[in-house]
Amino acid sequence: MQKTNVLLILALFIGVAFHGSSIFFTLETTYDALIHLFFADHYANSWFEPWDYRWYTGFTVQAYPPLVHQGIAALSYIGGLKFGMFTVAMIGIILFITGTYRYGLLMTGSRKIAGYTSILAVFSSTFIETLHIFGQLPSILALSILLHSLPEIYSWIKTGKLRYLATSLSLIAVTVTSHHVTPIFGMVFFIFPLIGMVLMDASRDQIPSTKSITFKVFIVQFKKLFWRIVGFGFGSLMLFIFCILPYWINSKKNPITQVPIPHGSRDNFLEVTSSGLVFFLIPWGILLFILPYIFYRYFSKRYLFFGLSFTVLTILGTGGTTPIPLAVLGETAFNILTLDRFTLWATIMALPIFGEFVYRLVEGDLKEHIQQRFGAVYHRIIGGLLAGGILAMVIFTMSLNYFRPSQPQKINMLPIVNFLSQDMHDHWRYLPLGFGDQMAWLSAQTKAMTVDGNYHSARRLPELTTRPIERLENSKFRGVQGIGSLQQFLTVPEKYNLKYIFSNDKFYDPLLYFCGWQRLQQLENGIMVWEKLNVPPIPAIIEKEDVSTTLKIMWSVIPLLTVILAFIINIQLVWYRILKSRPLPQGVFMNYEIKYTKFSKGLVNINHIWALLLLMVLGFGVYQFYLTNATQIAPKNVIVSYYDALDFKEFKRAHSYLDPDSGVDISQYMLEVSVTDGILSSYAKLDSIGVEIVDETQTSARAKVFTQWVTPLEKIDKLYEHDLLKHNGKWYIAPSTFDNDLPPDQLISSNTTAFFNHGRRRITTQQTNHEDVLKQPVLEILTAKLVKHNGSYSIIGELQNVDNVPSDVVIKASLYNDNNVELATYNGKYQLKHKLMPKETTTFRIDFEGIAWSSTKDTLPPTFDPDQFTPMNFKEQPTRFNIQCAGNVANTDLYKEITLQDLELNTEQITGSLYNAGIQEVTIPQLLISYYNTNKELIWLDHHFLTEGVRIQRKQYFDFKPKELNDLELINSSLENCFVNGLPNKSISEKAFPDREHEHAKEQLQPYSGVGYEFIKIETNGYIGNPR
Amino acid sequence: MSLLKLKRTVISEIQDNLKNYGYILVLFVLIVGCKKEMDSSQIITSNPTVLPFKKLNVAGDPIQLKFKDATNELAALIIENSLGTTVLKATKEENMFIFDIPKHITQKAGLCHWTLTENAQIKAKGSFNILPNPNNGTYIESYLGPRSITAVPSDFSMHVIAPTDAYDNPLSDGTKITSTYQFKNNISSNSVTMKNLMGWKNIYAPQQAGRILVTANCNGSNSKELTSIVYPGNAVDFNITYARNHDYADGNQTITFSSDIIKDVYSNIVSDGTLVNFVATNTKNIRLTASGTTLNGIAKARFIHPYEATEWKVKAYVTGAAQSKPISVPFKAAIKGYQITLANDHRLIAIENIQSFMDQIVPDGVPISLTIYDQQGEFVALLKETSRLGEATFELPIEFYDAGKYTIETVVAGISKKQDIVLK
Repeated sequence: MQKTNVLLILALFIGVAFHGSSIFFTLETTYDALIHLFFADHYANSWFEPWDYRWYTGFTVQAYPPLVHQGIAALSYIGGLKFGMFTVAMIGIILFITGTYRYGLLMTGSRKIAGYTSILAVFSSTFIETLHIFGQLPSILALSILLHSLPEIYSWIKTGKLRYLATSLSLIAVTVTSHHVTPIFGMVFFIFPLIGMVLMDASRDQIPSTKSITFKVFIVQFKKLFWRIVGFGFGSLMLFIFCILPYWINSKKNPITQVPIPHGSRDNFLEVTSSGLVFFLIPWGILLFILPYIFYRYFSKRYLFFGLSFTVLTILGTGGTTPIPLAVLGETAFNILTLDRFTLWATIMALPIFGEFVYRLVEGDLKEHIQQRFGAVYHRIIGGLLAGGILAMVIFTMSLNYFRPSQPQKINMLPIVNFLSQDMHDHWRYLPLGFGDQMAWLSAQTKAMTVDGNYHSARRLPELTTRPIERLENSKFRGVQGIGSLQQFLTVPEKYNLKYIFSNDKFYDPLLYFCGWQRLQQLENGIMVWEKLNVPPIPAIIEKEDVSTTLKIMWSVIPLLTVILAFIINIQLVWYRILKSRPLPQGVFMNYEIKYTKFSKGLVNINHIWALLLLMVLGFGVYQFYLTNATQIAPKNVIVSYYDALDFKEFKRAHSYLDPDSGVDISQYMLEVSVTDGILSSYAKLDSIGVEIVDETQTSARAKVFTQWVTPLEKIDKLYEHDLLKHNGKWYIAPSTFDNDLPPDQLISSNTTAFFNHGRRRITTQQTNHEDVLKQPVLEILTAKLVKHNGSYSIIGELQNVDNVPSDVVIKASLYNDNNVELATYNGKYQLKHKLMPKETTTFRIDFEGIAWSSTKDTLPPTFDPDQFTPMNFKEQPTRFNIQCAGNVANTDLYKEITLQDLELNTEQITGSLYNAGIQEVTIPQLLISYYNTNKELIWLDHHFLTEGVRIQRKQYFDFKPKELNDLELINSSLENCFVNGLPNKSISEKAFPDREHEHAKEQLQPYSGVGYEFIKIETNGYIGNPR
Repeated sequence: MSLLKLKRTVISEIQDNLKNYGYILVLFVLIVGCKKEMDSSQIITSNPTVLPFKKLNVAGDPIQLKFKDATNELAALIIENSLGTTVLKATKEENMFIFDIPKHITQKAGLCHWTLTENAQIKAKGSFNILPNPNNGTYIESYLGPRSITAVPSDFSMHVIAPTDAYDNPLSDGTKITSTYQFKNNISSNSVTMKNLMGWKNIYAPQQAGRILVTANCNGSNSKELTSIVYPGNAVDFNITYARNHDYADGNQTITFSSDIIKDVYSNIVSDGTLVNFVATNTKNIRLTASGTTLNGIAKARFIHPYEATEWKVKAYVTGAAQSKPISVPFKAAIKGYQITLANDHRLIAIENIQSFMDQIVPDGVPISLTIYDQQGEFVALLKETSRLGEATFELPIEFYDAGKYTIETVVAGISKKQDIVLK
């Protein structure tokens, strides 16, 4: 009768209690878990249909092995999706702990060491990270089952009993259907060395001791066992292909031809320390300290092949720190794979050896060795340090998400789900912004579709695949490229039937406004809904890529079938194992248990030296960290720290860097800072900072600070100058002075004309009654021209709202060649006022933006173009154009009370001020500057954003450099193909403005002689961040 | 041993299969045989003729077609009307076929074609007509568009009326409809004749802005009320005035420009929200702009006073439609002078006594600039401050400004002063 392994029971008990209870607080905020939940929701709703319309304008779920998703889906029929997810996670935890136990047993042949291994597995920081921070359920499940299959494979090759072949192949099948990468690399890194170990053991059986194994003996054994190995190899290869055949076909059909998305695991860990922490230090954790022991053991003869595998894994896991992984994997594989999985496998592979080490330290020969050599106290200290280290890593890893949340706060999705389902809002696509991975959870709860998605390998739109961004939703973290990609969607939303945006991050709001979107309402959960007018609903029939019914059935049936089969094949054994009802045949690997009698003295020494070295490196790292972060030891440091504090809005810290003798106390400083609003202070992220110190003396310096800020609208370069002073060995910044200007009036009154549109007046589930649909306001295009400026084409012109109601303007231009072949289409973006009052005019410019790097073979520019504009590549010369303009009744963002004053025209620059005469604070003022020739004809248009807002009854000074328009070519000027609301512009002009006075517009132009023009006009526009 | 067993089972399976094939073959022969037999046995020729029927019907009336000398069980009546085609089976009565035309056909007005077929052969053809049935009540579907028009003689809304009978058939051409509309105190009716399924009437815009209500009447039934808004036409030239507290250029008062009530050519007040651009041209020929939107025809725009004496020529535009007469707005200088005090070896430069028109300290915030040139007249630095309690100070610390001779130029409210300083 076998005894129950107490250590294993303990490991399971603690593991389930610890992980099983904490997943409820961690899993939903991980990177991946909610994505799997979305996939599960797909299967729960349409098990047999692999096409899902909800992401990326449609994608196939055959792009990811389905077992885990189908498992969650099946369980969701009992208790909902989240129940399914947590249950599967729970199963994963149990399988992982038992898997490491069996793996440990296989490797060491000792039930005791295997027990230690399983306990260490529970607390291994790599497992905690994978589960609680990354949420990679399929990866965990596949790895665990792979570990379970290892003893079976060993037994099959060693004994040749068919039963073992069946058990091993059944488990391999389950692994394959749950994750694709794990079995591929698992084969290479786990099963190949395992086969090597079997051969070693078989060779060992032929001769008296391990040491006398020669290459000859090894080859003989290899020949003997060759057909078993081939049998298993062939069988698993077949399963590999067959079980997820649709996946392979899909990968062949839609190869991942996208620009690689940067991943931290490919960074140089010494340069990007945060990546080093997450992808190296945490997974390795305490194992780092006993690396010499692990290598020593794995390079003993029996484990030799594991040693090689472990070494390769370790090196590949270092990412971009060394050039080796790139050289080994090649460019393509290096950029597609996330290299952290190599570290994961290395650390899992090391577990049995770690178990062995701990066993020997706790009750084995190492304990005796240390006690004899250094004394019992030292042994206790070492043991305590080890245990403390493990616990510290556990707590540190678990708390990582708490102190540095990788996700935004949990969002209550119900109001959004309700919004989407009411009033036919789900007939359009939506886009969440700033949701993090919770967007997957939102998608899972609604049938509405989005252009975004959270599984980037399945992206299809070239606008997405050609940019290295994971999601549009978090595009701000991808800097200029991310924002650039998002802009394309926002500017031409009708292409994607994108009408609603849920903004959980006000960073994107200015971008939305200046792309012509308007605020609709704020939901109860604080999410702002933005809408775009004039977007058609999604057509009733949308394209999809269909696959054959056979593949659909294979995909839907095989995965769970593999589980059932594996269950039937293994259940007997499992049952015997658990209940001990019948003595089981001992695994043949149990014969190779080693007697641990004498611990190598040299190894102890080496490991001590290694540990000391490691501690020194860590100490040095911490010291370096301190030095670069010591804020006031040099003029440059204090400047960088000051801007860092400002960037993170830590005003108290920023104030501490100001000269204490200057008399600006903290409350004064806070007051002065708190009143500044604008794109720089409210919507910008400091991207880079360069400091040039001039006039440095012992006690003073002057700094020129070149800053680059990423804002949602454009990259802003700004130069600041600061005087620096040194007191008591610390550098300080002399505070800049603030504007003393006082507004003239204490209390002001203002009348405005406000508008409201009921929408549908009758509550009905049917389409809006025709009586409740307002007439589209009539716009008139006054001029339109196709020009070529600096090599790229633009359409410029002027239009007027000739109706009696305020109008939203959507303007879309197409370019044609001489043969009337359409070359390009784009919409107006920043260079127009999107909301016009009756009789208001706006100049406009439409640039034709191409899809950046549309050929993935193009090399990415190493530094990103600040203007983020990719001109469209024209094969032919555009000569004609067509403008389609649409008006829709607008009732928001109609603030027009920005006055242009103090204008001064110099040859080098134009300065002036904007005075806010109304009662709304303008957060981001914009100037539209149009240029005219001698005949007062429009020739060019440009825009300029002010970096600070204009407060009520106050001024904001601006200055900009006027354009030099040498390289400007007029290609075509015509109103022939201009249409408004589908009607020819000419008929509108004749009807609405038969006797237009053209002198009015000309009289308002400002004479200003510049390079290539004689007149300018400055129009004002502004985004109001917080409308009252 | 086991191989032998396998062989045996395989053989028996093949035998079983062969048996099955046999059954299938027999079945096939039977089916094919039956079919041929049926075809040959069922040839019955008949020459049915239709009994007289009503060629002109009213929607909703029952219609029956009878055929005599009809014997073939497979006869079918195909009926086509504008909505589709229906195949009917007959009921047999003593050598006579009776077809009851279903309601979905008899209730739809229009021409109906019928065809009697037997074994895919046409035996008889004909047609009958169904007229709309206005007796069971008339329903009116009506539309008015566009929903808003402008008060100019050429603009109109079109009232489209489609009266139908109880079965949703549009009434016959020539049916009289009355289209009635109300505007202000005037209610007028027009008679419209139905043609091509509907009647329509253009309602031309009156010269006044307001709201037109429209309804229709036909056979004593009434439609619902529809609305079209008459917006005023384009603005015509207007006048502007201004209001301000004083005429000093102190940079700290608002001046409000207002238009008079802007109207169109028929004296309708222009629609609310009409944008009016105010352009002020100063003595340096610089155009300053502000805009206002109308409320009850009056647009207002606010500027803040300049800092230096000037004169504005202000004109307002409703671009393309109307403009105002220009008005002139003079500003007197408020700040007449200031003092520069040097202290601390000229390293502290104070601009003091900036006084306004009553010698009061100017309100805070007057921009002050200090430009520093070196001995050769090269630009060194431009420092900017705003006044606080009528003064501002600039410090030139020794760390940044080496000892030597400099020229400074200060500008306050357009008053520029130059001075040489010596830093020690």
